[in-house]
Amino acid sequence: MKLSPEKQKNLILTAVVTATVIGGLWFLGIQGLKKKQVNDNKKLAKLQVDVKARSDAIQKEIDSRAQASAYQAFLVSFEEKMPRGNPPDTWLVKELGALAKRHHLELLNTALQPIKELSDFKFKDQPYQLVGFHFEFKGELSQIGKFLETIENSMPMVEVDEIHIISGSEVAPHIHTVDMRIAIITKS
Amino acid sequence: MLRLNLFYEQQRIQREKDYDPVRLTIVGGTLIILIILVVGAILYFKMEPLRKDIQGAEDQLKKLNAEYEALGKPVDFPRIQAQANAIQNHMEYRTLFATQLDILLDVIPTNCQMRLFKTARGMQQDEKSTPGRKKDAPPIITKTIVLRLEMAFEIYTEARSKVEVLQIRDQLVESFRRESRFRDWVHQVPDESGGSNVWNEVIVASSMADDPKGDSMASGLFEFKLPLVTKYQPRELK
Repeated sequence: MKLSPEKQKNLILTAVVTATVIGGLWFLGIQGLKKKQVNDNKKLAKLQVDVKARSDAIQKEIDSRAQASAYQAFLVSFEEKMPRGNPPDTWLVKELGALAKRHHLELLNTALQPIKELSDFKFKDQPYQLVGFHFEFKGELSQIGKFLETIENSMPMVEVDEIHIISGSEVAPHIHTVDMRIAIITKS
Repeated sequence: MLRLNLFYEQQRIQREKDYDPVRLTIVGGTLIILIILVVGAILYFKMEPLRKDIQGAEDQLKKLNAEYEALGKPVDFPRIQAQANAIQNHMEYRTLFATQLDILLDVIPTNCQMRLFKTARGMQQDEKSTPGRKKDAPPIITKTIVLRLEMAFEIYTEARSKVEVLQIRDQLVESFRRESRFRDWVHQVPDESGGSNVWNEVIVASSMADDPKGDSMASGLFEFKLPLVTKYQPRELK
């Protein structure tokens, strides 16, 4: 069948228009939808990750708060036991003096001493520091032991840093002289 | 007589009309377009659950963000924990001398007198060298500070002879080494006999024994040192 030139022209035009429409629909419609589907899947995956991360962050924050409040309670109760005053020697003389009196001992030559090295070792980058408190007393070994025990048991913020016990003279060898330094935690 | 086949002509025109390539192209194209539209519609409806999921996730995220905002400023948990741990470690790892003094007084026999008891604390810097990661790289040197603690005491005793005094000293060393109540406090060393047992590390720092003179008895003054265990972890120097 032979087509007239006009028909041929119409045919080519129609074919071009049809192919363009089909191509446009295919690429813009179907491929666009497919691309959107891929992107939506990625978006959903990202959203799910974000939701999980946010949900975890909330849970972690709630857990942290519960734990932090437990730690805070511990810190508050501990800080209440810390020596008061800055410098704290008045408080220490009063408290340790009372303890010593209970054991029939008397504190002598009290002095505050900085112990920076040990303080840095234990409380570096913390709002606490160790303060050395030096004092002397005399007594029998059993009394000294009990006094030491009372200090260590009733004052958790205290650690005996140095202790020097020397036996007494020939006249009273059972009376020992104690030269002691305790390290106490205070707020820096 | 000329006979004209008009029917054939009519058929030709009808055939040309039916099989018009332009018309056929339009019909074919329209069909393909319809198919594409149907496929597109199917795809679009298939994506509906995905759209719902996205919307749901967005709503959930918005809600969670609001919840997070409502919680306020986040708590600085690591700081609080580090602070509490420092206190906790101090309380847990502090060396309690009352217990040791008590054990010591229990171990020392009645014929001996403790003349001096002292504790010495010190810090020791340790260096550890590890080879560098790359070839020809300088070694990595890690410096740490270790807390050292030592308990020292002097014991005086009297006996009939110098040998007896020295025997008392040896008995004391043996008692201190074998005293199980010290186990948590004093450094442990392997049994000298090579057995699997461990002993407390006891150092005889000085030993002086005098012979009896006249009416007086033989006497001895001994200094013992017991290196103590400090449970504090070494601190790394930066």
